[in-house]
Parts: sequence; C-alpha cells; structure tokens
Amino acid sequence: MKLLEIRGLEIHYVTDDGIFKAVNGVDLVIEEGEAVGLVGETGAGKTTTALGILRLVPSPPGKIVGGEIFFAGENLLKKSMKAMRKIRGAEISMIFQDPMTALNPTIRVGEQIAEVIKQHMNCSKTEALSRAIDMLSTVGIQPERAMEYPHQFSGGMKQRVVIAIALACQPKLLIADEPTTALDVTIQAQVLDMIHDLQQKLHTSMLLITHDLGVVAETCDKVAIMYAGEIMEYGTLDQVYNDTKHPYTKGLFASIPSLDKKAGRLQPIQGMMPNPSDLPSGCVFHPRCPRASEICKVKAASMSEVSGGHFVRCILCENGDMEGK
Amino acid sequence: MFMKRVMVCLSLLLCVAILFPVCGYGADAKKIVLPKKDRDTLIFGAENEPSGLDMINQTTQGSITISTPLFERLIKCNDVTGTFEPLLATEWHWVNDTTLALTLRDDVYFHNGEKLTAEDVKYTIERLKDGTATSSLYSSFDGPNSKVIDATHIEIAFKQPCAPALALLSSPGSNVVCKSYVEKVGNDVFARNPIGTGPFKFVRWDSGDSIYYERNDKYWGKTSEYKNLTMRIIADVGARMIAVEAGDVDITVTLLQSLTRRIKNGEAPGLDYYAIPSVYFFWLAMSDEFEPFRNLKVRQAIAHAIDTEQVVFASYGPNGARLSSIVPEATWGYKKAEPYEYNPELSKKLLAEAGYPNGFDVDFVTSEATNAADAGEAVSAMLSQVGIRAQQKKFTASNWQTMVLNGTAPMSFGGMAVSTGDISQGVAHLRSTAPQVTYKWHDPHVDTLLDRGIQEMNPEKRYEIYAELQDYVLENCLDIPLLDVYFSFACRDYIQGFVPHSRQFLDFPSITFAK
Amino acid sequence: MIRYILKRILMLIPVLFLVLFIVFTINYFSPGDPVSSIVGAEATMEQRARVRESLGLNDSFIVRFGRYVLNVATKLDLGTDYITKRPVRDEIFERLPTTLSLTFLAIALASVVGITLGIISARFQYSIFDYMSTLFSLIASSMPAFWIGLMLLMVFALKFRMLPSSGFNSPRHWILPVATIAFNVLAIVTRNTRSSMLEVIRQDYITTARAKGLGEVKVIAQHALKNALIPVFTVIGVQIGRTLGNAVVVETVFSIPGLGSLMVTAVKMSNFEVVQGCIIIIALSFCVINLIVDLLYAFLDPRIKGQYMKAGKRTIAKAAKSGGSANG
Repeated sequence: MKLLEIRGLEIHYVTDDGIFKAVNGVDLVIEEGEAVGLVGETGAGKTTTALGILRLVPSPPGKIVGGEIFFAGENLLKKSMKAMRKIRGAEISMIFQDPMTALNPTIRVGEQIAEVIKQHMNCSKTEALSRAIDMLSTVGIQPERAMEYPHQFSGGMKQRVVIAIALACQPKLLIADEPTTALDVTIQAQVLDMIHDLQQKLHTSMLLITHDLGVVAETCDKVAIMYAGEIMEYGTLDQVYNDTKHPYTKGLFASIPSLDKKAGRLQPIQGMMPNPSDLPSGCVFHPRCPRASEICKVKAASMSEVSGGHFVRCILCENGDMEGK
Repeated sequence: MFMKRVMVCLSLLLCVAILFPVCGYGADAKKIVLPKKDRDTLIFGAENEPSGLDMINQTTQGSITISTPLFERLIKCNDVTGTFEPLLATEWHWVNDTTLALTLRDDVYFHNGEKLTAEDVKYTIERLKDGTATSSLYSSFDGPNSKVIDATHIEIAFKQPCAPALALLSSPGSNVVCKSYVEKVGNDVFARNPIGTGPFKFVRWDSGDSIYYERNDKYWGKTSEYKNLTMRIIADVGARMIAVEAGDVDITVTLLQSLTRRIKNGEAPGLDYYAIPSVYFFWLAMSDEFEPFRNLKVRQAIAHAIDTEQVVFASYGPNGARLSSIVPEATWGYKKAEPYEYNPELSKKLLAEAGYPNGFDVDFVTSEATNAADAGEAVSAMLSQVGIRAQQKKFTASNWQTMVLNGTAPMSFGGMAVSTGDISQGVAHLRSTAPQVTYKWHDPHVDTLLDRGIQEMNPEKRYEIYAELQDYVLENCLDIPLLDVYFSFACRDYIQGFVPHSRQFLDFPSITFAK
Repeated sequence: MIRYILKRILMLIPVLFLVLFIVFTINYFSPGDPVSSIVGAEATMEQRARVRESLGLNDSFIVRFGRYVLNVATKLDLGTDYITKRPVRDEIFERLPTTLSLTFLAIALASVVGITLGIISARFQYSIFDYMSTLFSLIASSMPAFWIGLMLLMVFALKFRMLPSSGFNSPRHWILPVATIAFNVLAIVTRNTRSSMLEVIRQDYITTARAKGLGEVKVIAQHALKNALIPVFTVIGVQIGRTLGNAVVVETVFSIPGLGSLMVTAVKMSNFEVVQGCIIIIALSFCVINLIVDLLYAFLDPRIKGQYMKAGKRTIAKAAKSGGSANG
C-alpha cells in the first residue's frame, strides 16, 4: 500500500533577485513500513521537498507551484491548514538536521514532548507529561531529566529528544532530515541504530534525507538520488548501488574514498551544482556529465523504468547506451 | 518594485497629513467660543512659582501678582493719578522729619480671625530688616523705636529722613502680617501657609502645580463674586499661551509677541488683550572698571550706536516701548528726556576721537532668558557695526547675576522692577556703594544727588534733585536707557472688569464673569 | 537566586556613591552662585555674606562632601532647598510619584502596543501593514519629544478642545503627556520586536513547533515570543532610563510638577542641594529598574537563570575554599 506518493512536485522561491527553482518535478513513492533514502549534494532540494510534504515551506519566498502529494490516498496540497495541522506531528513527523537549534531553549524538555502529545491525543496535561517521560526512557534518557532545559543536554541527547518528539504520537511517516550530520561519528551510530529500531518496532515508514550513501546503506530499503531539484535515479538498494545507471550516481559512488583501494587523489565530479535561478537547458546535469551528448543539451529526460522498480532520468540510459557498474 | 513605489507614495501622503494641523491652524478665525463652565473659579496662569509667599523674601518675577490677593499694605498708590490713598491706614501725617503717625482701620481681621492692631504693624516694620528683599530698601525704617499709641494708632520712626516712606509703605515688602501667627509658626512655615488681611485666603499649595485661594467672606471691603481663585503655574511660555487659548486658564500674563499680534489682528477669537507700561525696565550697563568705558566719548559713541526702536522690536515687540529716561514713566520722579539719536557715523567719529579708531573688544554678558538674549543679539550687532566687538555670552539667570555682582561682566543689561514706584529705587544702582559692580559708578556728584534725593522731604524740591540727576546721567551716558516692558495680559472674553496695574497689584475682586 | 539579588543590591552602594561624588564635584566647581537667587538684586554685601555662611557654602570641599554623605547615609537627609528652605527629600518625594507614573504609563503603553505591532509586522513581513508600521516607526522615532508634545497640544487642546493643556490631576490630563513620551519609545520597541521576531521565526525550533501541528497563534505566543522578547526587554530597560531623563522636556511642555521640572528650575537657580538629591534619586531608580529587567531575563530565559545561580554558587564555593584554607 502506497503510503506517500509524490508526483511532479514543483517548489519555487520567489525573491527580488529572481525565481529559484528548488524542486522541479520530483516523483517519489514510499510504501507502508518502508524506509526510503533521499540522497544528494547540498542544495539539491532535499530539505525543501521534505518541508513541502508537510507544507512547511517558508511562505513569503517559497511557494508550491505544482504537483501532487498523496498521503494515504488524499492530496495534501489540497487540504486546509487546519487539516494539515492535524496531520503534522500525528501522522507525519519530522526530525530536523541540527539538534542544537531544533529545541526551544526556554521550555523544559519534557514539556516540549508533552506538547505534541497533548496536541493530538485527547488527554490531560499530567497524562501527556507522563507519556512524554515514557518516551524519554524509550530514547534512553532518564526520566528525572524531563524537567531540565535543552542547554543542559549534549548534542546527541538533544537529538534523542527530537526523535522522542517526532515519534511520540506514533506517526505513519517519519521524515528525518540529515539526523546525524551534526553529531560526531560514535553518537551517529547510536542514534541511527535507535531510529532504525524504533522505525521497525512501530512499523513507521521513513524518508531519510542524507548526503551519506553509507548511512542509506545501513538503514534504508530504497534510495532516490536527487540533483538540482529532480530525482535522477530511484530504486532498491541493490538496484542503485550494484546496478548504478545514472552518470551522476556513478560519479557519487566514484567520489567516495575507499579503504581497500589505494588512491592518489580524490575523484570529485567536475563542476558545481547549478544555480537554481539559472538552470541549464535540457538535462540539468549535462554541463557536468562526462557522457553528455548533443541531445542532452536540448531535451530534458523523464523518469523511465530500466528494470522492475528501478527508474532513471537519463536519455542515454533510456536508449540503453549506459552500462551498470 | 511595486511595493516600494506604494511605500513612497504612502510616506509622502503621511508627511502631508502631518503638516495639516500646523498649516491649517491659523486659518480658521471663526470658531465657536465656548462659555466658561465653572463660574465660581477664576484661574490665573502665572509665570513662575514663588519660593514662598512672604514678600519680604521674594524677588521672583510675578510673585507680587500671586501674593496680592492675600495681603494688604498700609497705603496704596493710585495707578492713574499717582497719589497715595488709604488702605489699611485711614490717615497719616508727618509729626517731624523722622516720625510718621498713622491711624488704622478698626474693622480689619486676619484670615485666622484675629483683629488687626498696631502691634501687628509694628511687628511688620520690625521684621523688614531681616528680609532679603527688604533689608536695604527699608534700611531707614526704625522698627524698635516705632511706638504703638493704641490699637489703631502707630508712630513709625525713621533713622534719618526717608523721602520715599509712603511709597515704601505702599510696596509689597510692607504687607501687614499677623504677629501672633508668624511668631508661632516661624517665617518658613508662614511663607508656605500665609495669613493676611486680604480679600482672599490661602487654601492649599500644590508645589509645582497650583496655589489655591478662597474668597474671604469676612473681608472689610468689596469681595469677589466668584468663590475660588487658582494661581496655576505654567512656566513654559508656549504652554501658557496654549492654556489661555484653550480656555484652561482665564487670564494669563507675559505674552509671547506672536499671540499679542494675533489677538490684536483678531485672529484669536475668545481672547482680549490688555497691557500697561510697567515699572519694569532695561538699560545697557557699562562697568567703570573697564578702561574704555571710563571715557565719556566712548559711552556717547555707544549711546549713538544703538537703535533703541530696533532693540524693542527684537525683544518685546508690541509688549515694550522705548524708555525715555533712566526710569520708566510709571515711576514717581520720572522726567521725560530726549532719547539719544541713532547715528552710527557719529559713533565711529566719537570712537576715533576717543582713541579707538578701530574699535575694541568687550565681553557682553546677558541672561539666557529669551527676551534678554534677543535684545542682546540686536545690541551686539549694532555695536559691531561701529567697530565695538561685543562678544555676547549667555548665562543662566543666577550666573549672570553673580557676574554682574562681582564685575566680571564689563558690559551687560540692567533690568529691574521699581516695585516701590519711587525713583530712588530705580537709580540706587548708580551709587558707588551699590552691590553690583557692573552697574555702579564711582562719581561723587551722583552719590551726593542720591543722598540728597532720598532725604529731601519736600516733594517739589525732591523732584528737582532727581531731575538734575537724570539730566546728569543722560548727559554723561552713565546708563543707556533701552526699554520699558509692558505687563501684557490675555483674558478670555467672558472676563470683565479686569484692569492691569503697572506695579502688579491686580484688583482680583473687581473681576467678574460676563453673563 | 536570592544571593544574586542581594549581591546586586549591595553593588548599588558604590555606584550611588560614585554618582554622588561626580555630581557634587560638578556642582562645587560650577560657576553659579545660589546666593544671588536667594537674596535678589538689592541685597547688600553683608547680607550675602551672612547667607553664604548660613548655608555652609564657605566650608571646604571635603567638609561639605563628608557632611552631605553622612547625612544621606545615616539620616537619609538629602539636604535643604536653599530657596524654599524645605527639606529636599520632601520636595523630591512630592514629585517623584508623578514622574514615575508618567514614565511607567508611557513605557507600559508603548511596550504593549509596540510589541503587538512588532509581532504582527514580523508575522506578515512585506505586507502593507509591515510597510506602514516601518514608516510610522521611522517618523515617530525621528520627531523630538517637545515637538510631538506641542503638536498634540495644538491639535487636541487647542483646535479640538478635547483635552486639558497642563497639569497632571486626572486621567484626562495624563493622555497627552503619556502619548508624547510613548511615541518615541513605541517606535523603537516596534522595530526591535519586529527584528527580534523575524530572527526567532527563522529559527529551527519554530519549524519544529509547526511540524508538531501546533496552531500559528500557539507557535508565536508560546514558542516565539518568549525568545523574541529577551532583547526587546533590554531595549525597554534602556528606554526607561532615557525616558526618566526626557521627563524634563515633557514636564516643561505640559507644566507637570514632576522631578524633571524641579531639577531644571533648580539648575537655573544654582540650587545645588536639590540638583544633587534629584540626580541621586534618578540614579537609584535607574539602577533598580535595571535590576528588575535583569531579573526578568532570568524569568524568561533559563540559560540566564542558570548563570545567575552559578554566580551565586561560585561565590559560595570560593568562600568555602578560602574559609577552608584559612582554617587549614
């Protein structure tokens, strides 16, 4: 059962300096209980997409200009704000990137968790608080610390609190926007494990946004590669990692330094991500693509299925000109 | 961007909207005038808060007006004819050159119910020597040797013949006080909670705000129709003008030139203008400690360099007039004189003859009060035209007084109110032993005339002495007369019976409200 | 926390002493002479000398300063007004409530209105409302207080005769002077609230709050406001100080018998004791207000509260250590 289906989502930021096309026709599907990774460089539009799902895109500059987002069969873009608020925190939750700033410094931690519980579940304040304390123990924080303030916690513990808030109402979909990027490596592993465990236990679907292909490999079932506001490649782990089709994805894998191979220099992808207000014509990746041909400069590709459930947005791949690995 | 254009337009609109009250203000002369709501209270807008109501210590401008409803003197001076008329004393005569016998009214009571007797009058005379405003003016009065004959007869003794005695007894310093009350509470409490014999009695003093009086129903003379009299203190002249225009006060004093002109032109409906030449005047003082000023030609040069009409215009405008002698017209002993001719060319010639062909520098010190400062600028400009570089320096009132006192101001304005109405007070500053170094002159001839004038009991002879003094001072340019200030008043048009007084003794009981 | 408050209160004493010293020195060396104001022009030299002696103006600096400080410290006696002969303390406390109530009413009004406007401006940034309030702030903060006061007087007291032009007796009298002061302060509070709110609204924890499904009002009121108000309170605290100083101007225009007008008259007459007394009281008020504002921070921001508590604990720890080492 498709829990979340995004079709042709377009989000623009309208400013005095021009229109920034942050998300340009994104298609994505997440099944129930499934964890999908959304991978891309900084500036690819991943966070914007995530915010778009919850309709939290900052509205003076940002605007959702097209597409549909179906959640449990209903188009979120057509819902009223009141209906959206019922969904936020209860059906769909989000974990943000920087735990240091994600919590309100002037409110006690326990109360911040209790807040989301009280908002969505019909219970009294004391009940909400006790449930919040339970959540805290679930994420491994002693209940006594519920009355403390965020500045009294370390980064890792703060992130656990954020996770507690996100999962307190047992949402169907959890969107995790680079949840471990701001943490150091040892804590990273802990937090990822915890997210993974909870997700499995509660049968929650997850959209994990990250730039780290390794993290995706450990926690996700499917992965989507995003570049300049579009999904370039999408499929299961096995398909994308072992049968990489898109030149961009290949470039990504190639740029990861390897422990066993001896390498003189790193191999980044040539060039820079284009400015969203001034996107190239035709295929968005063509200026940096080692295999770009004339047709790539003029004609934009659409997502085509190269094998069961494995989609690529590349004209050359469509025509079967690219080989895997 | 569109938004920015909208913002610019809106901001222009807002600016214009703000200017409306300012521009549109003067335009409507035909407004409806509101009638007086509370006809039982007269509110007077005063310009200064006195430090106390005991007039022997009061020198603040306007304090006479504020204290006048409460107290009375033995004699009053008719403002029109200049003759002395009975007030608390019914008749008087000189027994000899140093004894004045007076008969008092028999029906006067103080506000605390005690009857006025000659004991109170003797006590009043005795305390004059201690008052900061009265000790030198009344120095000839001999309180201890004054005799109480009976309850209504007293003989006041003098240490030497005192020609201005009657004038002094008609001045606020000699307000009759209640001996038993003052002795009981002391001078300081008396000053804040006064008791007198006047047509109003003191009710309450809200410091900085208002002083409240109430009609004295046991007064021996004519009382007011209205019951309450409030002296509202509004020190800022702009605010005071607004108060009278808005009707928050019924009468106010010392008007701005702008309001005076507007009332006269009919642009201020609901207000009437009253003015009277007063005993308050200004002159230009030159210190004889400053070398160039010792030279007669220099002083004459200065006299001819100043266009007095312009100085009046610059400072008081319609509320002032050129002074035509060394004392104002309202003073006894005044003799009209020819003003100095305004002739800058003559000035320069005289300066050259005096040995200053290129002029000289001098510090010209004035108070920072608006009128003095404006007049000072005018004088300074005129003097610089003939080469006298008079650097105008402005100071606060008390600093300026100090500088004039110790002579650190070589040139300044002299200003005083001849509260006694007698010329002796107005020329006392010329004496070589006077306190202010800047004002005085070391001239034996002047001293002689001053001594004779103050002791000559025959009025005709006395007048001659002072006439001679005025001529001498003007010929030698010892003082350069500048202007006579009018006491200016604005009254709401429902006020009737208001008569301005040249010495501030306003007759409050005669004021009525129009029906 | 109590320790922190006590520490702050103790610190007031050296501050006030310093203020007193500076003011006393300035008065002592300034050229004015109160005697002239007391005796008037016609007094003789002997009289002036007598008055000088009786006021103690002939004693040396140290003697006069020492006497003054002693009086203040032991009897809370701020001296005597040279001219009215009344105790300075009485005169000041007659007028202090007026000035304080004028200040606080104005600040309260300006804060409430300003914070509201600032919040709305920030929430609806770039809307017409935002532009209008920005424009209004700019204009209102550029207009000097006496000009605003006179303009208000002319419009409301004169043209429309709606409100009285002077005095401070009834609530009707309060409207214009309070509005005059509030104007300037309002502008600054609005601007600061707006910019502080804009900053706070962009913070991640606001997005977190929205992502929890909370309504906009709750997000702003409970999450954003607490954080946004902290710098605004600093500004308001400063404005209180500024307003106390500006009281002079407004009190003059509206003839309000407050501390400001007392002080101005005293300065003009070289009435030093009154000037000193007024300045001490104003300095004291200002320090107390600052303390209250600082305590308000602790109430709003738990991080700051923690610092205050630590500061208290540190002194205890130090004291314990030094006590220990003295014994050991």
